[in-house]
Amino acid sequence: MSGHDSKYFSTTKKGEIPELKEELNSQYKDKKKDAVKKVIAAMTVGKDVSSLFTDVVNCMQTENLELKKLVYLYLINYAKSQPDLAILAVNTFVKDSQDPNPLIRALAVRTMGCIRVDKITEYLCDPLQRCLKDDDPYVRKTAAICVAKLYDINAELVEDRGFLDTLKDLISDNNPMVVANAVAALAEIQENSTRPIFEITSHTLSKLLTALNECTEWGQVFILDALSRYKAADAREAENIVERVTPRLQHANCAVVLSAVKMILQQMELITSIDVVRNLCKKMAPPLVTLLSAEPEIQYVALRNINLIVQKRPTILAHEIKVFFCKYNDPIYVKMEKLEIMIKLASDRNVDQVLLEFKEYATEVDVDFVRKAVRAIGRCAIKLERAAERCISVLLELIKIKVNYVVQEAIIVIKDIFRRYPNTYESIIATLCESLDTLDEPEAKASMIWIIGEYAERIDNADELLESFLESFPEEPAMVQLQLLTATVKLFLKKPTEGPQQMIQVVLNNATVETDNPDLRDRAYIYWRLLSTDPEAAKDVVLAEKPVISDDSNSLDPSLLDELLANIATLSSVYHKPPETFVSRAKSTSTRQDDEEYADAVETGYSESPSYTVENPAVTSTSSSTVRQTGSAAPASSSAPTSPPAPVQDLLGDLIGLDNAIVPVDQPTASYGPALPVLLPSSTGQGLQISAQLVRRDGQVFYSLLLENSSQMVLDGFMIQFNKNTFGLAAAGPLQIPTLQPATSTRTLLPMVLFQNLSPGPPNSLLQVAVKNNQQPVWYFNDKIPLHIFFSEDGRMERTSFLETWKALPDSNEVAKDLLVAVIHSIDTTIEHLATANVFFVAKRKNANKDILYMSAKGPRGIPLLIELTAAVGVPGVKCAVKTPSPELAPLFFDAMENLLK
Amino acid sequence: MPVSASAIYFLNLRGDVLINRLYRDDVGNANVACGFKFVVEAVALFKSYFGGAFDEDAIRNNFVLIYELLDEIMDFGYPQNLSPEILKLYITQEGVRFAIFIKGVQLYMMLGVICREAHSFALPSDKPVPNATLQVTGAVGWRREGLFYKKNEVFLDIVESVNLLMSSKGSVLRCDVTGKILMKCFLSGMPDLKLGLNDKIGLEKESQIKSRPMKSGKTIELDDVTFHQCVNLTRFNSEKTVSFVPPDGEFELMKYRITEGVNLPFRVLPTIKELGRTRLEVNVKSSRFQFQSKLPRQAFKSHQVEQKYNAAIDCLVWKIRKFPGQTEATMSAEVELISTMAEKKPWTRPPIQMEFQHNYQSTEQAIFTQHKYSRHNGFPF
Repeated sequence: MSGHDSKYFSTTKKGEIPELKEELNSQYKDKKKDAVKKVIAAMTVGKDVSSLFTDVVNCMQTENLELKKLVYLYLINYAKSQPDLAILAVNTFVKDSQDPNPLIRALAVRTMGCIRVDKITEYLCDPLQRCLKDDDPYVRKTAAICVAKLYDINAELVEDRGFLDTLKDLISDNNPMVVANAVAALAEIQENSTRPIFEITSHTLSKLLTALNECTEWGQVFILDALSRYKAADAREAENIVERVTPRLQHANCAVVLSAVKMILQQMELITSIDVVRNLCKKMAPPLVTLLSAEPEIQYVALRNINLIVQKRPTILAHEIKVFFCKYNDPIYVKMEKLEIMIKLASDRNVDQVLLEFKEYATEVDVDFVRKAVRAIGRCAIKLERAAERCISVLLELIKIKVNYVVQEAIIVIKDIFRRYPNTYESIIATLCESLDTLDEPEAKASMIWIIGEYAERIDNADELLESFLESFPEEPAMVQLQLLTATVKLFLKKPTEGPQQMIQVVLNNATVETDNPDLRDRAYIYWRLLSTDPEAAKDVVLAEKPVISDDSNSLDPSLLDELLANIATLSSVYHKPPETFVSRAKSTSTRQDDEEYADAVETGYSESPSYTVENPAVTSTSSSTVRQTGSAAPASSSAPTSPPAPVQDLLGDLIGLDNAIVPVDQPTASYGPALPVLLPSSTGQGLQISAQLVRRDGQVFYSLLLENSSQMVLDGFMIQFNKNTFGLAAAGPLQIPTLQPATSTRTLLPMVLFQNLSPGPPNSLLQVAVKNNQQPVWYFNDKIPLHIFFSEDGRMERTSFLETWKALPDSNEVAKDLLVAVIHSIDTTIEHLATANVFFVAKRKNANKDILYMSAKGPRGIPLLIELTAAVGVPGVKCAVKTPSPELAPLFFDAMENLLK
Repeated sequence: MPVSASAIYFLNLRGDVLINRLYRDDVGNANVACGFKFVVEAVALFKSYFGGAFDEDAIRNNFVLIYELLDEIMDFGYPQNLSPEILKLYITQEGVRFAIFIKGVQLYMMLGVICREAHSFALPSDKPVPNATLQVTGAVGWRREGLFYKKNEVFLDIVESVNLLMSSKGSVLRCDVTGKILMKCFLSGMPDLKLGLNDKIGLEKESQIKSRPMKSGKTIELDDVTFHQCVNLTRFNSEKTVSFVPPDGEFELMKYRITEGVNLPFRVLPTIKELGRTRLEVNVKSSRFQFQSKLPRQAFKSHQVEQKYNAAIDCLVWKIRKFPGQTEATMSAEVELISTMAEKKPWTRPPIQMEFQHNYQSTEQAIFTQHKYSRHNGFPF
């Protein structure tokens, strides 16, 4: 009967739908079932069979489990498009949820949770309540997940009906699978909630660790992932936890192993005994190595994670470098990652072996891999001083085999080696010069030219060599031109004879008059002026000693590394990016304001296509500047796109109910908020005035910029750069500002990202910004980072948790300050005003003539800030006290509060 | 978040979606290790239902079954029970079976198969078992209750793959073994099995190893072992015995790795000379097996008879039926390549692959010291 289902795909006659309709209403069970299968087949190939909704739903009441499942499947797909008709199915669902067969009870609850129609959700509550307490563990485990589904649709409903408490009770269930699913559901709800829902106490911890032994492999993953958030109280507890988790390292399931590794690494931070740590490192090595015999995709995930682990704890795999040697049949993405780890593990002890491997790889056939192998040799040389000479001799051997791309890659890395060990290996320059005419890649050419310029005094025919490149100067890529320019200047300074003098004339002429590359022109002018005013000074500048470069193979910032290690096995650990940089959906969508269309568009754009959003402010600003200068000749901006951009293609639109958002183009400038402070006055900026401020919109930090051009020039090619700062603020994309005509202005919102370029030292609010364009010099100005732009929308705290957190923090974490210029005119408006800045009201009391307000906020990286404001209404001067795990932020916080309360 | 997927798609080679199942929308920072492992296991499950094949036809022919399984094995992005043994209890549609299709799996160098016995095993009956749900969620989520065999049997297979790299002079540069123990169980009731390993697994505390009297050189060090989910890991950690309630039928009990003390049964010395653009001379001196050597794509013809060129896998295949110890065999062949207009691509020097069967003795000598079998409540033995 079953099987050979492919025949159901083959009905493509005309009038298919009416035919199916007839068959669905047939009185013969078999025919009915076949018809439903045909409907599902049509659905599978993407035909719209939603018009058959009523007929399919009519088949729902059946004893046949297979048929029932098919109808349910149909419902999951089409209920959203037919919400009114979906209600027809509710009765059967409710009835099925009381069926004597536990499979059907579970099926009903599971399916109802998948139908995201409000009307159905209401009816889901009662069956769910029953199923959570069902006698059958299969039903309970399904119901546990269903709570998470419901929370995703309607969080309030879940809280009102007390499902969370029932779910918490399931942690103590006697069935391990129910426990595992309850943990998974709770962990997910916690992730999406601002309130503490699923707190792991030492009691739950020990209960869950016991459950680990009985769980299915997947259940173990759920539990380990949830427990990895737990912070042990002291070293003893940490050791205890680790001891109970270590057996999981022997599991055949790679996800269990990685989650166990994650948990052990977290707890190791607390363990002080060196012996215990060393022992743990020893235990973790073999399971990690074993992951490399899994499927290539899993190997890749493992390698990306190992890359992080060896950065944190190099000892774990220090003796295992051999297992990272590439195999012949490894896929290329695995080979590349292995190379990366080999460089990280290379040490004086194993470098000979490693070099032999690299040399072997450098003679393979895959070009990208070969290049990376050559580069790896160079990185080893830079990393290991004692091995540098051996690395260089390997590179020289490779150059001798005369494979073009190998030679070029080798020259690029040798340039870096020269910078790392100046005045040590110059004897090989002669060998390098032999391959001069085979170079055709810009980077290799630029490197070679740099070497010639840098060591011009040691190369007898340096001038001839450079001259041969000069002939094609105008055609060369910018990178090569820049190096040629510098090298010629160096040559001239080192050998001020007639030949070089002529060359420099040619180059400077080419680089100032003939070119339209501003970088090149700028550099040429600087050299020119230097040479013409003071050749000695030129020597001091151009031939100054260069700082020695260092090894970049341990490139991740320690705080970022820790964050990534807490996310082992997840996407974040594979991308090597913190989750907030790619998880786009804002946590609390409920605070979204409907009238703020612009903000809506930004959010939708972010979740579906980031590149589109980046363009968005640009499009807006272009059109506004066009409008403003009607009549004047504006060739550049009038050609800019003014038609509305194509709607975002939303693939899942039907399912998750997002309407395709069309971004309003002619957004009034008012929506950008109040006037911005001027940071670069036009007197300093040669007519360019820049006003800017950091703002928070819909959970995202933006740099709101206003550029006004009062100069006589057309300005274009705007770029922006932020210096390292306390919070690592950086631009999330390029600055999208089109050509700025004289006497026009433009506004833009530049999306910002956090924790990119962290500056060390105590927190401060300084933000150094550089803006450049093609016509003017680079402008530098300073801005302040107001702390409140980081306050997230989910900073609201309940009174009880506020008290608990307050008590839990030691008194040394409390800092107070009198804000002299701040004033509270009315309690209510102040509360309202602060709430818009995500500082939330918790409680208030009165003390003598003063009011005391307790408020909460959540700072960067989710740091809670507990605030106490004491003031007399209408009288200037507010006493502000803050208690937080990071008291070093207090000065910044007071600044922010003073600003907010002004 | 342990969520691993928001949807599952079945694509064919052209990238068309054959079947999909959407579980939820955004999953954020998903657990990818879990996701990939899930996909691997799911494919194994489908193969077990379809009798080995998992291709476009099999998917089209079983789409109803696939939908049904997809509903069961993952809920809201969370993997649930994927054990074929248990799922077959209540998802009873039989998959459409095809003749078993063996893909050219390439192991690196040698594959030793030891004491292999062919044995087909019975499928569970098609009738749903009334307490199926209890078994899905039970502590032993991989074995159903009430099994009965007249003859209780257990088979153990050890399959090892030896990965070896030799220098041109014949010295071993790198050698490691990954092995797995496959078990086939036909036992009644809920048996509790114990397997003792004759080893000194690196996980033991060093003091323990030292205090133990040295055996007559028969021990070998396993670098690492991993076990099927049926093995009680905590007990392994404390008592060093592998104790488990096995699933019914065939499964992979454990995997291990060895890097030290591997004795190689063979030695192979190939010399390959490229004679001009279109000729290749292959000489191999060796010792007992079947063996393949990969050739450049253009190769089409070889002159000798004792070895054959197999065009389907681009390999020169040399079969040796019996290979007594202390002997040597030599093969020499000349290969003519089709001369192509294009420039000759460099030869990738692929590894030589050997396959051999070897009875009764494993290269790693992890001989089992004990094999206990205890039963629970009153099933006839």
